Amino acid sequence: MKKLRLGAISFDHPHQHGWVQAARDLPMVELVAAAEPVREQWAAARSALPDSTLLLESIAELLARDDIDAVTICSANVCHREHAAAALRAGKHVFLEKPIATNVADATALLELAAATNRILIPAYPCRFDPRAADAKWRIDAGQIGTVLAMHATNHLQKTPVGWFIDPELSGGGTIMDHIVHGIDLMRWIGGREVAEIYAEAGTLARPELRVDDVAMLLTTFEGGVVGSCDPSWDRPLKSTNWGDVSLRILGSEGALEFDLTGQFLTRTLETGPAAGVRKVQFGDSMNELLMREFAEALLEDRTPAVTDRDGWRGVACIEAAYESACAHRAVKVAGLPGD
Amino acid sequence: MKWVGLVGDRRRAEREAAYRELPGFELVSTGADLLDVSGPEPGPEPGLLAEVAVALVDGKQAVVHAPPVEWAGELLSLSEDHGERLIVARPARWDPRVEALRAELDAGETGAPAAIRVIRLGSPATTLAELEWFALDALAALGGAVGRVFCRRSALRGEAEDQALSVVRFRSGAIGYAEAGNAYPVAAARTLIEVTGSAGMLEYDSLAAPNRLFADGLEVLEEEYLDPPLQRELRGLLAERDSDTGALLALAAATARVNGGAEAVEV
Repeated sequence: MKKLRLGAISFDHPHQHGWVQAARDLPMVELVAAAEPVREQWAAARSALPDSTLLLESIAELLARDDIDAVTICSANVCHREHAAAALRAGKHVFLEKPIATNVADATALLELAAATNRILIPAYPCRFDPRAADAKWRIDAGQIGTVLAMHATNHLQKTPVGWFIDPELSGGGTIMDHIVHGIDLMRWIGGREVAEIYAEAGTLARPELRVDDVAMLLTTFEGGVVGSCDPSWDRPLKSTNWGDVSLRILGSEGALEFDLTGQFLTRTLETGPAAGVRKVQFGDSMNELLMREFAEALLEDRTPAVTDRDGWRGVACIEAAYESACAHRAVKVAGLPGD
Repeated sequence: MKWVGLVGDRRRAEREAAYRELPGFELVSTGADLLDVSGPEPGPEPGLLAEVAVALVDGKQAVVHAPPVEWAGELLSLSEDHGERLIVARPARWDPRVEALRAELDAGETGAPAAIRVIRLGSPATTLAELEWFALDALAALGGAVGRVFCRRSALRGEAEDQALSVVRFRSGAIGYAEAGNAYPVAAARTLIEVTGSAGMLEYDSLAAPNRLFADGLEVLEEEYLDPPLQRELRGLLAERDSDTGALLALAAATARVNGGAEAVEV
């Protein structure tokens, strides 16, 4: 079997563990090497990797290898442009943690470089690969709720972000930077239209000691007049029974449809022990694995993947518009993709 | 308290009496202590705003049922001119769910509110105004004074507005969200109120409550109370208790002023 030979760059973002696990679980992917420049993160990285996978300190050394076709990049947000550009110039395809950049200028530069080097760059947007999201898309395309009129997305998170996530010099921002892209991408994809305008309020409220926004609310207007909202807040208590949610409510002319990608769970209640209390235990398909499979199969079959760098760029454009709106207290038009 | 008559025409008097299962209504313009302004659907008629003004000038009290939000500015002026003798039904603050949430917030264990979200969805059998007043009043009751609001109102299914989305910034700094919509299927009717704070979270979701009617499809039922919020609200008005109507009307008037514009409006 022809295999995609993969490298993993940086474990700054814990999602790298999910991508590594997905790669390990897929027969068409071979995890060749990983690069982690931060020595303090080596133990965690090593524990995630198969024994046969090399762990290197140098990203340049990993990119220089000719036995690697593609890389996953999970460095801090502000490093995305540098690391992704280096990978593209080295001839590697790129699987890039979201957001693909912290501003539109950097996102545009990455799109141009991917085109110039004839490499594929995809954003780590796994949600649309979840079977429930795919089923919702199918039902809406089949006209089961008529024409889409309104869409409301949430992607809440417990008050867990620490480290570089809450350092604005490394993250580029807080909950808007980190968490609007999944809801926005689901609405764009399922609704079949782009975000035209955003109004946003944002603040540091759930954990007032932070230096980045942790609560936000966006009102979104899509092309064609469809309206909606997106709530990306990191405001769920640490004692919550779930880590957060990824939900979508869609109103159509003939009905309504809603789902929560974290809604497949058992409820576990323990009397004693370190996990005492009530906890939701999720089950079902891994959307991480489904996204990694799509990335690998698209490359092996020499086709365009179902999610592209253009989707990543539009997420960044919405982030930039939301932050501008939150500062100006007015609705802001979302930038259009250059060339569209 | 008893009904003494109705302002309007004979046909309307008969219709209203039948709706309220009363033997009949007299046509009156004076003689009542309390003016109860409502219309069967889709809410009070425009001429009734003048009747409210006349009643207040005459020293009466008035309750206006789910008026168009565009009336809020005029109602606010009337309220300011005549003290606390005017209320708008149905304020959510008299709802036991909101009262329970308010009590929890006052107890302080959940810390300072960070975000307050109120989603109130119904079918076309309900008026948008009724849902929107509830959502805005719940926000005001739980979050206090509002500094700034942005609003988008839409006519999704026809020419009449059937969705109102508001994002507010409370003077405390907390962020609020009010969503009202009456374009939903009966089974999708929902009341969700959620408050996250610096030390915890409170939530009520009617979809999580076990009140369901399985008949011709699924219907999520409203909570029922022996002493309905509207009755308690009216008793509060008659007892001249502070209903905080001014704050609600100021918020509603601000959402109406946004009116499709790009700028948020100060309250």
